[in-house]
Amino acid sequence: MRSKLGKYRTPYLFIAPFFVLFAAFVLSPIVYSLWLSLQEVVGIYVPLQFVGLKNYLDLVSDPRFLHSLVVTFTYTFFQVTIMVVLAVILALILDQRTLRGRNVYRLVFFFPVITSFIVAAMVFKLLLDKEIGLFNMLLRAVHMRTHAWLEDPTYALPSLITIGIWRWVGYQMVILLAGLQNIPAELYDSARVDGAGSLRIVFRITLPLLFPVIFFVIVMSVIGSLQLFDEPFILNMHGGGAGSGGPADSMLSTAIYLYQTGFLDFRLGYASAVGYVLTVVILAISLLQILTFGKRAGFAEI
Amino acid sequence: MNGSLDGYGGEVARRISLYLLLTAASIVMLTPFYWSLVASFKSQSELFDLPNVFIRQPTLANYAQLFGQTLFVRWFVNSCLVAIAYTVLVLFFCSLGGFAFAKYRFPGRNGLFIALLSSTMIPPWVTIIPIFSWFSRLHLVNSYLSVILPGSANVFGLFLMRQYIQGVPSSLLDAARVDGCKEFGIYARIVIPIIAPALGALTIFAFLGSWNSFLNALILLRTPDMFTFPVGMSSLVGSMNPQYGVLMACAVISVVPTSIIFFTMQKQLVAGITLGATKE
Repeated sequence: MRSKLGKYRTPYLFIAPFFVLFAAFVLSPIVYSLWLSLQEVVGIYVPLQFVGLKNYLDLVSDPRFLHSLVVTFTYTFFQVTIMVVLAVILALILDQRTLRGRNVYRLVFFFPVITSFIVAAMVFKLLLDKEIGLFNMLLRAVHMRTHAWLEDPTYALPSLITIGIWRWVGYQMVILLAGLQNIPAELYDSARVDGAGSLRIVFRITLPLLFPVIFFVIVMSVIGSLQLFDEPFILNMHGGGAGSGGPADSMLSTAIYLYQTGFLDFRLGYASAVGYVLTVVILAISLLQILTFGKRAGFAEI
Repeated sequence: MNGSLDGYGGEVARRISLYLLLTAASIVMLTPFYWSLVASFKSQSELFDLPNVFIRQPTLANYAQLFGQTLFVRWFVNSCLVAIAYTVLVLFFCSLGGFAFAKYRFPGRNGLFIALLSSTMIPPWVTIIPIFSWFSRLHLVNSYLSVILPGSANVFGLFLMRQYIQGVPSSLLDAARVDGCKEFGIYARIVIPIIAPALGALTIFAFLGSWNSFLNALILLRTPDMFTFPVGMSSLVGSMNPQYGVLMACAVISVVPTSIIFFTMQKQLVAGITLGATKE
């Protein structure tokens, strides 16, 4: 035993620092959170009270929680779909070697990646302001109806989706561009020799070969979008309030709801249950995507 | 399309419309930056009473107010301290752990690695509640440690390091062993210099990640003097009477460090982003 441990001492020592932190701040919180989700606990210094699955059962009939799922799914569906379509189009255009200034364009589309969500949300709050926002200013100039984009429940979520697309489209474009570079040029050449037009080449050769990368982008974006928090949090901070779900709860993402229950009401058990349901939703959707399209995307090889 | 657009003329028309489209899209992408920059140099009255796309009377009042009347400088320093400490920890732990996963065989290696990777599927929302609860009990809430430590077991970083170190020839390490080099010496004197480019990429990711991180800091930092930049900014947004000009000045300054990183280390940034999406 001793000699065996001695033999492997070096690698264990090398992973130890990382693993100690991982155990303390990732692994044990994951386990403890599951335990907490089975307790009735309001506050930090109060004893836990085991209630079994009560929190989960309560969630099923909690209208605000169910509404938060609807908001989160709606956001995710539209944000990811529009963003991926735009990113694919941009990547296809900017992949053309003959295009002049393509590096400048790439830089421009990629640039929002440097902003934090906070800055993005703050800037859009001003851009979409009903009085002094640039967007309404332009609408006024062409005599079109203006709206209170962030205060009107009808437009709040679409505004949020727009911000998400703006912040992420260039990031996804860069990943797709890298994928395009891995497609061998001979394939295009032989298709051209066969007399295929550009659009036909895109649909018959480029997109099918790019599919694994597109799939990766979609799966990762869905995981990210389902956790939506920073932008709605900032957009709905005013008058000293924090963590609101926006006008008529139109921006109440599940993560915002978790914040409300956990860090405003200090219902730590209930909030943990929200966290676990969100986790299960994320895992289930990812798994569903992989089972449906994973084979075509080459997941079987891994 | 009529017939005359075929051939050369059609190609030119297609090109021009493509450039127009790209330029229009670029303008849309850059407008938020332009708007915040412009707003940061406008006085409160110009911003509200004379809404305009351009600046009439540029003023530094917003910046003066930001520096003079908020804890802005303090937040900036806090963010720098936290981001630097976090980055150093991540670089060390991830490269050392990545080296072990890449170049040693030991029982549990694959199981452990899969466990690490699957943990990235779990949203931080699950871990933040216990972390908050434990740090509160340990009276560590509102400390630098509370925002540096929890994220420092960075699985992405470990994965990046492992990938890169796998490409280092094992014969090189064996040669050093024959020459009597200790295992930690191999890590410090052979592996580290070779993987310097990957360390560069990880430096950017760790720094940007910490600089922009909001959730942990929002929950674990309680008093304004301890706030990091994003939390400080959000407290300005949340104040009773938010002053847009000051907020925009704050936004402009906050993207300065990240822009510098962006322009100087673009290559590493892209390399890190595309890792995992494309198989080499």
